[in-house]
Amino acid sequence: MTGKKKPGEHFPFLILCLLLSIGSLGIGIYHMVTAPDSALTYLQSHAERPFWTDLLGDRIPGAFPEAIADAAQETAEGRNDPADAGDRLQPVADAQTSAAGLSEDGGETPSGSSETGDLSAPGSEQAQDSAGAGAREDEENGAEGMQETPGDAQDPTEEPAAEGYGPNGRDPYFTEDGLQLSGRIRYQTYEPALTDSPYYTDRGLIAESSEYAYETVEDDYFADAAFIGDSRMLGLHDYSGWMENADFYCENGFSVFRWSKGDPVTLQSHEGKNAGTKVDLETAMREKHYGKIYLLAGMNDLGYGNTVLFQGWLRDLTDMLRETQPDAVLYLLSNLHISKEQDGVQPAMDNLNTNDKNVAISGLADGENVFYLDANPLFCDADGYLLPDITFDGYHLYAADYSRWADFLKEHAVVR
Amino acid sequence: MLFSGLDFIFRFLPVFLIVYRLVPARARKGVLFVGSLVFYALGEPVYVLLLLAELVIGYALYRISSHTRKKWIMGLAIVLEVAVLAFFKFGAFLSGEVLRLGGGAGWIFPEGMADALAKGQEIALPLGISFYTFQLIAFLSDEGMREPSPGERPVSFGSFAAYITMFPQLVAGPIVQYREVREDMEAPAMTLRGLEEGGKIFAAGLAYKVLLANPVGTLFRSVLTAGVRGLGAENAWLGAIAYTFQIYFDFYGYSLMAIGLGKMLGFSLPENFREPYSARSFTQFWRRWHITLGRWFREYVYIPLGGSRAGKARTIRNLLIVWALTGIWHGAGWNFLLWGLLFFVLLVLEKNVYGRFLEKHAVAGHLYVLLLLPVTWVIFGISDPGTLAGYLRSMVGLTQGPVLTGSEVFMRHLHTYGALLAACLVCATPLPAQLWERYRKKVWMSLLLFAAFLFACYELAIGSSNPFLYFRF
Repeated sequence: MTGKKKPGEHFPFLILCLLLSIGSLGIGIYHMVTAPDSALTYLQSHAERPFWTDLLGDRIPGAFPEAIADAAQETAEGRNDPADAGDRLQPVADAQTSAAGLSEDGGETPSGSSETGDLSAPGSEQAQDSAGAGAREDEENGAEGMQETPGDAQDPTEEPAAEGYGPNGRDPYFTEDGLQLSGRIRYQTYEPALTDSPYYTDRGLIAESSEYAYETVEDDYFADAAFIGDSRMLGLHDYSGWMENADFYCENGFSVFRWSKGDPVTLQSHEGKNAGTKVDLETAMREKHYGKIYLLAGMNDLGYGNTVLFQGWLRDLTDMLRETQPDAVLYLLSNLHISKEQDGVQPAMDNLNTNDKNVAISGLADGENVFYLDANPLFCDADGYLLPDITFDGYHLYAADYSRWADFLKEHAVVR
Repeated sequence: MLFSGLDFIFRFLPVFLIVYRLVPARARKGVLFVGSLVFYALGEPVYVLLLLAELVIGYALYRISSHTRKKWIMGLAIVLEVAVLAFFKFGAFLSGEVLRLGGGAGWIFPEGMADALAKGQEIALPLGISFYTFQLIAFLSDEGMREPSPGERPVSFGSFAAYITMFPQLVAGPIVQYREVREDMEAPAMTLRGLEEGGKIFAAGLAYKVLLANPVGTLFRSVLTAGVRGLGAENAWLGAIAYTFQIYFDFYGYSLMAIGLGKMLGFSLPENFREPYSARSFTQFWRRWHITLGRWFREYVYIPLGGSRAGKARTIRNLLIVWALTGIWHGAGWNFLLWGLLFFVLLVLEKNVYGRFLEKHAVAGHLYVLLLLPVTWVIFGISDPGTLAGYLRSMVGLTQGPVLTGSEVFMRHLHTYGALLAACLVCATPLPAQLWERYRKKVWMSLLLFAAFLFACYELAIGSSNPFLYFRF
């Protein structure tokens, strides 16, 4: 360095930067020495973590490696086996034939190369793989996630209830990687694509809204309603006119993953005078009484873990809601699709992932107390993309278009 | 590659600085050239060849011209550069417009491109082409067109290439003139003081970009996401003010980062902003906003056309040309042309009608600028004509349909963004610059900037929104 330093001149900024470098290096070395495996996992997953931009005006910390590490931990401790999900959920081993039945009815899938959902008993291996593989094994994960052909199907013990429904039209059943599907939901099928994403699988399924004798109601139906969700639910708060009476527990960035970590959620203001107050959702549910609860989450979970994990966290949330509000009707809303322009622009933010999460959401609907409502047909084109003239950013509706969503909810009300 | 990205700050920059420090001073311009190409190629792996081609051809024509003393060769070079820029910038837009208006010229486009154009999709602009083209033209005009003094040798390729491509200013300016770096170019000095000062300036720029521009940008985005149907006036203005802050701190921050980096490498890059929002007229504003661009248009377009010395009518014509070009330089869209022409009108009015009044009455001047600025930025920021019209209508209280995004949403925005908007307001005054002038050597200033730097890196690490508005030039 040429001697352009006056006597007594210090360089505080440079010194601080030097300290920062040494400190970071030190912390990195410390981690490598004390916990080489997790450090390695972190480095690998960090290197491949998607650039998680603030698309929804949200601040989403990069918890992806955290979620994967947690899930791997739980699986290792034997706590992530879907077969343990409870006595009321009976995995059905013979669902393969119904899958074959579905695909044959569809008439599109040649037996040799088809990759329709293989609905056999859950393989904990598979769950372990999806949980633990993370970002490292993109290709391998894709290969294992690929469903086998239903060539080796077993005979069904009962006739399928109706086309598109599960084996007996009543009980939940499971995919090979452990995702629960609802026996009461009708699933459309299509030729799935081969995906190598650690976040989701293309199962070739689209869930339809729960079938029920819905009634059309007026705004006062929502006076004892609770709405829980993310920025889109916040839009409903702003533009539906229901904020005066109903309780909206929603904020930008809400995700079931972060809820499962214990994050509070904002109870939005009723007059819109302030920015709301943070509450613990379970505490709030124990204190109040609601006639109906609407839940919309998933958009901000697209990059956390995978769909099976997502369903697990969602199941915990719905179990909590059912336990604290046993009389309330629980509506699980589907996530709106993404516009063609924005589809896939950010890693994990694409319609295949969104649809996979919607399939997971629908899997928890029982058609008696828990209903799945899908508003996508209102807002999407024939290919399933959000229409371009109702959105600015490809994800959120314009204020003026929320009334259609509100009308949809009014037309799909369960009155008991 | 963005300056406001962890990849740049913690990977590219340290490696480059180490190499730059290790080589002898005379070799630094070569390192700078190669390093800048790498920097560019990381963001633009294909069009880096275009940059190289323009460099080589431009330099070749410069040398031929200076050797043969034929000035028209320089003119040819300039025309070529402009043609390339115009092709990339406006070719897609104009063809799209032609197709849209029903011209049957689709057959001249290659397969697929016609479809893309018909859908209004732009062909991606090579990174920084607007900036480096202008810098090339500046060089060719300055060095190629003037008479060399006796004994003066032409600029070497190394110096020329390093000057055009140096990464601090390659992608988003400032638009540097060769005389500003000529002396340092031969043997750039990397000093502790340069690193210290440069580092602090870089940190300030990064903080402005990441801690002010990015978050306040999400407010404008929120307003646009709600849509213009039913947009209440208070939210329209709030969004416009947010965008006014965003574009200033975004671009000013980036320019500061460029200047800081330049200092670290031993160069003195020109300042690009001088408290523009303190201006009392738009004439004054444009001497404080994107200063190097205004300088470029003045020296290479306005003055060659005759400036203000050829009579009133000519002056107005020259102003019209300059402002129309300034508008469309910023983007291929009718709203950009409108934006440029709006300033033409305002400047002519100021020059001939109420300029004196504004000079005498400072308060009136400030109010006039502060009221009109958000309106001009809205025109600049919204390219879709329907949305733009709806937004402007909302601003004057003629909301389309019943107000949906009204006082409730407004109050919530104020609660969420109030502190941030206050910080933006304070930083948009001359205060920060004054503090810097007086206390730049103090230890607490270093601590403050270092803390800001760390916080900015944290925000980048958690993946907060990080757009860069002037990037598509």
